[in-house]
Amino acid sequence: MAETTTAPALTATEVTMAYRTRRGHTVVALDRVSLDVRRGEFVSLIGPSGCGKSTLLYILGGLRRQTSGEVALDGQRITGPTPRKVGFVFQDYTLFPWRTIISNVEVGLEFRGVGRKERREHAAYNLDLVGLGAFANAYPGELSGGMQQRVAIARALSMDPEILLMDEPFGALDEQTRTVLGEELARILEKTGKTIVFVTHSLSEAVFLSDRVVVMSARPGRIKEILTVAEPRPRQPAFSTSQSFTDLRNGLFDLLHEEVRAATLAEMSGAGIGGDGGRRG
Amino acid sequence: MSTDQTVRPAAGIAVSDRGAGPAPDTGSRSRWRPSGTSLGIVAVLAVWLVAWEATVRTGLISSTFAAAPSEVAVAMVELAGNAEVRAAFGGAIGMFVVAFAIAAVAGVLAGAAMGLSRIAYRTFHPVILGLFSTPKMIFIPIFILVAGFGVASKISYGAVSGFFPVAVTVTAGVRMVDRRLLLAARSMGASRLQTLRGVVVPGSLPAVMAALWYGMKHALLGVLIMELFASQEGIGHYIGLYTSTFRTDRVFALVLGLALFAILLGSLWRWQEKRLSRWRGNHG
Repeated sequence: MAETTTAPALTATEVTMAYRTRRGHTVVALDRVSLDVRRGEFVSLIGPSGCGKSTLLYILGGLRRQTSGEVALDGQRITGPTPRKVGFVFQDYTLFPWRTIISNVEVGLEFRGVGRKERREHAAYNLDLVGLGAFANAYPGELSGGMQQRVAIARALSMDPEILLMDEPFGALDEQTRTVLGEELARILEKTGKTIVFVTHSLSEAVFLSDRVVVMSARPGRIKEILTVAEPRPRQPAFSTSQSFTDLRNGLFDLLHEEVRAATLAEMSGAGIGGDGGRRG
Repeated sequence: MSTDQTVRPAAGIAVSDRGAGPAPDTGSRSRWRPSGTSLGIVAVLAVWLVAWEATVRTGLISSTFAAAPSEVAVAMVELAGNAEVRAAFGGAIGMFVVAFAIAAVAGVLAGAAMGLSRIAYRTFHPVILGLFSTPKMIFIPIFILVAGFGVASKISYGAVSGFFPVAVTVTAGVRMVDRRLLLAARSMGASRLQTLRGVVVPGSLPAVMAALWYGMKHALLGVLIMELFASQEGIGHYIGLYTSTFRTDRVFALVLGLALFAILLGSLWRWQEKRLSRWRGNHG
């Protein structure tokens, strides 16, 4: 198990997110969710579509404001994005297509006002860390989806936040690439020792990467259960074919399946109005 | 490393050639070789010119109403030697430049404002879109009434003609900057100004280029139309004069001169646009 101190890096206390849709209905995306993320921990958020996991992630990162409840970063109330401490990796189309790869990686530092030489060095280091140093002068359009996501990770890392919030970063990729990138991510994280909150639909990904897996219920989103994955880190590829992995994954499947059924049935009966919890935008 | 090195090869790079950089544009080649397409275009033009010459010379089309390419070429040389005609031609181009400059600046500012501000969009865009769709030629008498027959009416009409396409297209371009890119910038702590300069401007640049091109075309058209209507001086005057005296070779020569100017403008524009759009690679 990774070394973790007992002080939580991120705390959500009774966080509720409710909003009115265009048609005047009230949608409760999150219902009194409380969660502690300890420093150095890898926590996955998993749940059916519309359960609010991405919303929770955005709230934890200060990109959205909750309706009620508190979120705190290192004990301080979160009022907006804190790029010095919290970095984001989104699912797709996050690189600026008109900039080269290396320029994309350093753009966060540019916004911060870091000098040219320093940010270029920093960006180059992180680009090498994800194995794409050779493509520094290419444009995003020339890279495959998997490579682009690796660049997005490098970009987040180059801002040197203690915490990384990742919203289905491998969601747009095929399964093989996903698996490989998952192993890559595990390797990179070991090296950098960050705290991660990771939203995913993939059970295998959640079990392979996480210390704890938070299973969320169908809308309104609540925490149904939190699973602990006791396997020591760094995770080896062999773990994913082991018995303990399979048991954990099956356990997750059972937990999730109920919720997915509930969410799907709710949608079909018209109760699930308002889309997917406002995840987009 | 690992299995995920699938690069879609951009033009000119072998997949094994790591670190070669972005797709090279043809501008760096030292020797120019005519492509199949340009030879094809030349061939078509040649055939067309020959046919044109033939139909006029053999009297298939009366020479009262049409001039053969050879005659037009001669007329062009004649007119080029005429200082007054040259001045009129230069004047038309000069008026176009001023009209376009006004249309471009006003159009980009208005378009950006409507694209960035929801209130501005809801208030002004319907009006501007409506005026854009209205053929402005019906307002020509008003322009002449207000601004007279001289340079002012031509420039103002050209500017107004160019303003609307620019404003509408820039608005659309700004609004279409992908939300996810704006979100990424916000997550990295970009200020409003940084987002504007770093995301909105480059993101809407292709649309702005297209907008300026439309603006150019409409401004040129506007100036020329007003030239023909208010034809007491300038190119409009000469076109009218030569038409009424059946000097069709000279009319064609003037029109061809203007057409060549428009084509030249287009080529220069495309060349610049290609340079700025390098990042779009194979998909742009």
